Amino acid sequence: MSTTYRAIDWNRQKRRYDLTLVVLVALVFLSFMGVSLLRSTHITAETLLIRGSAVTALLLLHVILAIGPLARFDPRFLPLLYNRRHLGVTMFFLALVHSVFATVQFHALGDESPLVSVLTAYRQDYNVFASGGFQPAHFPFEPFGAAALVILFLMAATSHDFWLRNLGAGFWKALHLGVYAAYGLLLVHVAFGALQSERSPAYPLVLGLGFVVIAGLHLAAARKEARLDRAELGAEQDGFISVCRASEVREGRGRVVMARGQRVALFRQQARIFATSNVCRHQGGPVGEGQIVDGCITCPWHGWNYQPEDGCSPPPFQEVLETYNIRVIAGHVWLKATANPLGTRCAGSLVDDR
Amino acid sequence: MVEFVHASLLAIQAYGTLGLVFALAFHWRGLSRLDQGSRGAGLGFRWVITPGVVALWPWLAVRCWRTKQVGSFAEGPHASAAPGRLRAAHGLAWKALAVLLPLAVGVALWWRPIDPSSGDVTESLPRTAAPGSPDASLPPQPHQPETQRSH
Ligand code: HEM
Ligand code: FES
Repeated sequence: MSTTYRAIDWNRQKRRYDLTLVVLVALVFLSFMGVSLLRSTHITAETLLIRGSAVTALLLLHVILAIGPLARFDPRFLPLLYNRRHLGVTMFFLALVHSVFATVQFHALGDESPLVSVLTAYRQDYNVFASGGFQPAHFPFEPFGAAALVILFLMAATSHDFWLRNLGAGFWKALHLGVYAAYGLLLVHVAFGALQSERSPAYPLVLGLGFVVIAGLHLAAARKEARLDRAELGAEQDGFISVCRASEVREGRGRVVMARGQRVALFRQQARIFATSNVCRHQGGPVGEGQIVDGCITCPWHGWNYQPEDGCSPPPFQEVLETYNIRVIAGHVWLKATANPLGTRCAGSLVDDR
Repeated sequence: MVEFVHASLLAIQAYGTLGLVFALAFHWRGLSRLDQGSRGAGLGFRWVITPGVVALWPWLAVRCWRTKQVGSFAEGPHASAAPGRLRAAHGLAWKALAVLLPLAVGVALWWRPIDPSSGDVTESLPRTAAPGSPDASLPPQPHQPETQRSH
């Protein structure tokens, strides 16, 4: 939430993150090359590059897709989420290397321009029903890779916070949901491409396992969310709803509760309980899963700050979360179900645990 | 099909060229008017957003135009995505993937040609020769048998 944009807001943590990323990507790439060379010494450098970059990119995509749900289950994965966009941009560049070299290797020699050659069924015999039965090996798999590349490009190109602000959070988020389309397109690309000639059963097994793990993680995370949304409402009095026991909100920590279909974040600071909207102004992160750092509510995703008493980001920042009125009565937290107008100060409610 | 792709690529080229021209104008005047945060931002930031400006210029053009109409339009600090709708879209995406992907990959694997060497065919990688290249007349996969599994 810098007031003046910078190309990359690097800090110590992000530098460490990026360094680790580069080292791991290089390791995967080199191991893939090593294994390929062990399996066959005839493989050319171009082929190694084409396949190595593709496999590394696809692996990275699996990591990217796994981080979100993992961080919902275990806060130890949050540091991975913190700089996920750098994973995405790295993946795009790997995919770009693969696409460019594959296009040059397989399409540059013809008399049709390479791009047209990639996008059309550039061979007369590229017909899945050419000789009677259905032949997946004749399915034009490359346009699927190209379509995925376009999506990955749009996501990488709009990963800077400038875009979040200037495209609007809704449009930006919708655009970035495109990652699922890209994943689908890529599995088709690989299934009808590489898997038609690559016979080792390890390939489809690993791909299938990847799908099951990613889908399973997302399913489990969705169930957890749904359980929260279905949480039963407590008693209601003068517009206040009983949401939990005060002892369930620990000092310096947050807790997410439901109030009439809205998620609200409760925080306890110096024996007072405060309530704000749970939706971070940055990318909609779950504020209530964060903690209080230096007196400010800190979003678990990328660390944006809000003051507990009025929901305002500390100056010079301007983001504001709605606050909610709170009453703590006999060890129970009662929450006013309607939010206050933006910027309203609430003193919070004193907890008497003793 | 080839004509259609030619035409589409031409359209994309035109769109991109317009995008480049727009990007120049945008960096010259539009950017600092559209978003306060870009005032005083360095060259690195401008480079980082340029691919997106070229790709999404109509959106920015509308924003710039509306900013002129109503003063300031850059998304206020109070806007945020509707998390409920987003979760719904997310769920829908996974439902679609859960059905389509196993189906597609299943089809690709079930009907794939029987492997004649039943061993390593890594060397057969360059199976997509470009038209007009010397080996374009060869079948796409020299090792591929004529016989298909019959289902
Ligand atoms: C213009 C875009 C693209 C073209 C022309 C292209 C072309 C190819 C070709 C010719 C192969 C080899 C198929 C075979 O072995 O039979 C391949 C494999 C593959 N591609 Fe792409 N591709 C493109 C985009 C992408 C993208 C964006 C990704 C993202 C990760 C990707 C991932 C893969 C993977 C994982 C493989 C299998 C690698 C292996 O052989 O082990 N491709 N692609
Ligand atoms: S979502 Fe990025 S800091 Fe909250």
